[in-house]
Amino acid sequence: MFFSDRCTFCGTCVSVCPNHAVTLKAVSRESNWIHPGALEAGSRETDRVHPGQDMLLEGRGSEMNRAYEIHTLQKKCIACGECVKACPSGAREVAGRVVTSDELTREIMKDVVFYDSSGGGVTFSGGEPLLQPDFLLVLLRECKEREIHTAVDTCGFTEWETLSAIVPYVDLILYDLKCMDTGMHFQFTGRSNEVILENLIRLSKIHSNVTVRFPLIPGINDNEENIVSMGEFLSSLRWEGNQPRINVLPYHKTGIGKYERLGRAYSIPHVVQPTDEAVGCVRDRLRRFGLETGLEEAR
Amino acid sequence: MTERIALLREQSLKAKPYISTERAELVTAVYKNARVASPPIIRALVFRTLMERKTLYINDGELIVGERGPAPKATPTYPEICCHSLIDLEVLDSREKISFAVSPEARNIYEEEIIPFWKGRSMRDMIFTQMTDEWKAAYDAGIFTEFMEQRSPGHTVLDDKIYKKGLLDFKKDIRESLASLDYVGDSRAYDKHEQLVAMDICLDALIHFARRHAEKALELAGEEKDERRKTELAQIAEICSHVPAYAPRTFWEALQAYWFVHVGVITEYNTWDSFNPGRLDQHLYPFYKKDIEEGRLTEEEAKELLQCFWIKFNNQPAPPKVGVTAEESATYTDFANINLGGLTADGSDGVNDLTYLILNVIDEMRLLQPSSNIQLSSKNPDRFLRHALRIVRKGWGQPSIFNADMVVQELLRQGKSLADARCGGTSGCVETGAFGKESYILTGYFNLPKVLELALNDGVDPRSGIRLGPATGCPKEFESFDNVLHAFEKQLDYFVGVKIRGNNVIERMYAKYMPAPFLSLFIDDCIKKGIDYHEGGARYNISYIQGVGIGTATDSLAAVRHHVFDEKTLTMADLISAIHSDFVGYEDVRMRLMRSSPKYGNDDDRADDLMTWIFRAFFNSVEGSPNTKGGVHRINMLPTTCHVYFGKVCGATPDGRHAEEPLSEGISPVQGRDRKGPTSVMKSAAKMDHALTGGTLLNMKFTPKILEGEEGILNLAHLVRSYFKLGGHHVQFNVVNAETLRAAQEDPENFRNLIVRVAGYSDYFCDLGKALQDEIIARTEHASF
Repeated sequence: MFFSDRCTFCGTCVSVCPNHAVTLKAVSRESNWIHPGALEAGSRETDRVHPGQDMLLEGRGSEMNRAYEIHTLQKKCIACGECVKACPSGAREVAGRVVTSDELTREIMKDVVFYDSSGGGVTFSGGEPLLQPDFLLVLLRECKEREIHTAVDTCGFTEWETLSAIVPYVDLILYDLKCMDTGMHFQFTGRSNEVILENLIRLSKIHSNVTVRFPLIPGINDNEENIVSMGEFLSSLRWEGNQPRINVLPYHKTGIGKYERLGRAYSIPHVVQPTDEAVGCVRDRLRRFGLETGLEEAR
Repeated sequence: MTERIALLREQSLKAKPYISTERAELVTAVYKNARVASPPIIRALVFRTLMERKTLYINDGELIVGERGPAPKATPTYPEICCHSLIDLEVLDSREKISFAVSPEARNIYEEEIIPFWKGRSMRDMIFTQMTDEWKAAYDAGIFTEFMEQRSPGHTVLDDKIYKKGLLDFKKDIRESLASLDYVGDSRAYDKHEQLVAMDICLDALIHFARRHAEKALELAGEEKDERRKTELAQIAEICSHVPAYAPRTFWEALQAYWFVHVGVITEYNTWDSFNPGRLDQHLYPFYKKDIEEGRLTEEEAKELLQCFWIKFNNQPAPPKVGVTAEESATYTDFANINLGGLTADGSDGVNDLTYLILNVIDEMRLLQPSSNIQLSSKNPDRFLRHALRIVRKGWGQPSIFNADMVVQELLRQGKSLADARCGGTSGCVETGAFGKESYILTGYFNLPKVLELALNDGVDPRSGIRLGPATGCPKEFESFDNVLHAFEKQLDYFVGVKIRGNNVIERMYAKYMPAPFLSLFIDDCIKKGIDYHEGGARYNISYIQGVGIGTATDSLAAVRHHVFDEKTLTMADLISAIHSDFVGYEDVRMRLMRSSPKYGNDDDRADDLMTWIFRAFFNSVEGSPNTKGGVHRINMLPTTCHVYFGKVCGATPDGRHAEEPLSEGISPVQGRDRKGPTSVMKSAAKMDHALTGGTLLNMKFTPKILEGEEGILNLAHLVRSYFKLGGHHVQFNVVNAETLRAAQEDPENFRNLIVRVAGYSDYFCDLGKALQDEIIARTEHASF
C-alpha cells in the first residue's frame, strides 16, 4: 500500500528494491536532493502503465513544487518489505504479515483487562477467516482455554465440515448474507450462493448465537425481491433457541481510500450511500418476517 | 437555574480580573509600624488588620458572602511574598493571556509605597539571594522551577472539622495546648507559645470578619425595598453572626462557614491551590439530610445555595504570576478541586444523594472554577461513574476521575493511618493528600528531557554552552546503551540534589519569616503541637518534586537504543549532530527517529520498559530524602502548563522533536505518537507503579462521535474501570474535535466559552497561549475504541 500524501519523493525505496520494481521519475530537471541512484534506476518511458497490471502511483508536488511520479511494477514486486523499512516517511506498508499462533495469542491477551470489564473479546474477520481453517481452529481453542469470548465473521462459503469444526469454539457467529438469487449472487461475487445458504440452514440448527449481516448496497441488492426472499428464508429456519437476528450494514465509501492505496480500480464509484429512510424501510420490511433487525453503521 | 443564579453567573463570567492594592497597602502599613514581635505574631497582626479593615462586598442577590478582594475578581497582591516591579505590572496589564488590569492609581501606590518598602524584602527577593549559584544556573536553564518564588506553600485541603466545631471550640483547644506547654523540659515552649497566641488572634479575627458581614447585611436589609431580598439579608446576617464562631447548624451555615475559612486562607497568603473543602458531599450530607427532613430546605434551594457557592470560587482568580511561575501555571484558575464520591471513613461506598445533586450543579454551572473530580472506588456503583461520564462527555473537561482505591494505597504506602487515608483524596491537579492532616507541598517541576539532553552533552547545556551538570562522558565514546543510562542517572541525581538542597533552605525561610497561623488552625496537628503549618505542624509533611516530560524522555531513550545501539543504523555522532542542528540537513534522520523508533503509549515494552526505568530512576533519586519538617521528599507526575515552558528551553530531542517544542504532558505519550488506541495508552501508562507516587496525570482526547449514545458512555466507563484495575491513578477526558479547536484559534471571539482540559484543570481555550493551544490540538484524537 502506498500513501501518496506522505511521500516526499526522496527515492530511497527505488534504491533499496532488490528487484528494481520501483521507479521514480522527476518531471522537472532540477532535482538535487533525490537519493543518489534513484533516477538512474529507471526513469524510462518504456515502463508503460497497463491498467490492472501495474500500480501507477501519482505523486503530488513536493515542497519544492516539482512533480514526480512513482511507479511500482506489480509483476516485479515480491512484497519483501525492504522499501517499507527504508521509507523515512512511512509512505509504504505491506498489508498483512506472517504471524504464529503464539504471537497472535499473546497479542490478544494484551487487552484481557478490558475484555473482563466490558465483556468483549476477539473477532476473527478478514478477508475470510475460514480460508485459514487450521490456524483459525488453533486460535479459537487458545482463546476458549483462556476464557476469552470469540466471534467469527464469515461469508460462509466453505465446506460444512470446515465450518462445523470451529462451531464449538465460537461464541458469536457473524454470517454474511448478500443475495438470495443464485444468478445475481454469481454476478456480483463470482461465486454461487448455494453452499452459503445450505451452511446457514445447518448452522442455525446447532449454534445458538448467529447474527446474519446484510450489506445493503443501493442498486445492487436492495431490491424488494431480494429482501422478501431473505426475510422468508431466515424466518423459515429453525434457530436453535434464538430469535432470528439480522443486522443491516449500510454501504459506505470509506473503502475507496484503500483501493487507491493498493493502486486498484474501484468498481462502483457511482453507487451512493443509502439514506437513513431507505435503511429504515429495509429494516421494517425485515421485521415483518418476525426478524429482530439491528443496524451497524460506520462511525 | 434560577434567575438569580443566571444573573450572578453571567456577572462572574463577564467580570475581568484587575489588581487591587488594598491588601498590599494594609499589609505594608502593618509591617511599617510593627514593633518588635515574633514572626507568627506579626503575621497574626497582619491577618487581623486585613480582617478588620478590608472592604466588604455583598453582591446583590448572592446567598453566600465574602470576597478576597474588595469586589469579585478584584485580585489582591502579596508583596511580602512577591513584590511586583513596575515592569511586572505593565506586563500583567498588557499581556495577551491571563492579564490583570492595573489602574493608574494602583500603579502609583506601587511606585510610591509598596515597591520602596518591599523591594529586597519580599520572600521572593530573599529566596534568590539565598540560593546557590548552581541552583540559580539550573533554575535559569529550565531544569527545574521553584514553586515558592512567588507564592506561599499551601497544597492542603480541609477535612470535616469546621462542620463539627466552631472557632470558639478551637479556642478551647488552643488554651489546652498553651496550658500544657512545658517551659522546663521543652526548649521550644516559648516558640510554641507565640505560635498558639498568633493562632488565637487569627481565630478571633475571622469571627470579627464574619460579624462585620452580619452588620453590613443588616444595613443593606434596612435599605432594601424588595421583601424577599430583605428577608434573605436578615438570614445572611443571622448566619454570619453564628458561623464561624459556632459550629454550623444548617446546610446554608455549613457552606458559609467553609467560605469564610476559605477567604481567610487566601487572604492570609497567596497559597498554591487556594484552599479546598475536599470531600464536599461527605461533609455536607448530614446537614442536607437533616434540613430536608425537617422541612428547612428543599432540593431546589440546596441546589441554589450550591450554585451560589460555586460562583464564589469563580470570582477569585489566582493571584497574578509573572516570569517562570506564569509559564508553569498559565491560568486564572486557582485549583480548588472538589472531591465527590469515594469511600467513607469506615471504608464503604461514599456516594449519596448530595453527590448526584452536586454533579448536576457542576454540569449546569460549567464554570472555570472550582475544579471538580470524582473519586471512583471499586465500591462505588457504576451508575455514579456513568452519571459523571455524561457530564464528561459534554467536553469541557470536568469532572476528572480518580482511582480512590489507588489513592488510599498511595497514602497507606506513605505511612498514613487507614482512617486518614480514607478521608483523603486528591487536590490541585492530581495530588494525593490526607485532608485536614497533611502538608503536601509541591516544590517545583523537574525537566526530565532536559536532564537527558545534558547526559547526551557531557553535562553542558547545548543552548548556552555553560556547564551545568557533572561530566558524565562524551556520548560519542559510549560503548553501550548502559553508558547512556548511567550518564542520565548521574545527571538526574545531581540536579535532584541541587533542587532538594534549595528546597530545604526555602522551607526554613518560610518557617522563620512567613508562618501561617491562620491556616495552621485548620490542619492537624498544628494546634496540638503548637507548631506552624510551614514548620511541620501537620501530622504528615511531604515535599514533592513533579516530574515532567517522561513521554518525551522515554521516546528519546528508545530512539537512541534502537537506532544507535541495536540496529546500528545511526552513529551517536550523527545523532548528536542532528539534534544540535535541530535537524537542519538531517531531515531523513528526523523522519527515521520519528517513525521507526519504539514509542511509549503503544503497549510496546521496547519503549515502555524505558519509561519504567526513568520513573524508577527519578523515584530513587528523590524518594525519602528528608525535608526540614520531619517528613520526606517524594515524587508525583504532573505538568500543569510547564511542559510548554520546559519544551522552550530544551533543544531537539532524539525522539524527533524539534527544539523549543512542548514536551509530552503528564504521563501521556508524546502528542500523536500513540497509534494503537486508548487501550494501549492505558496499558503503557499502567506500567508505571502509581502507588509510588503522590499522583499522576493522564490526559485522553476523544471526538464526540465515538462517545455517542449509551454505548459510548458504557465504553468509556469500561475504559476507566479497566485502567483503574491496572493501577492507574487518574484519567481525564477532552471531548472536542480538532476542527473546533482550530476554528477557535482562528476566531477566538466566537469561542470565548470553549473550555478544554489542560492538565489537572480546565481552562478557556482562548486564554491559553498559542503553543499550549497547538499542543492540545496535537494530543491524540482517538477515532475509535
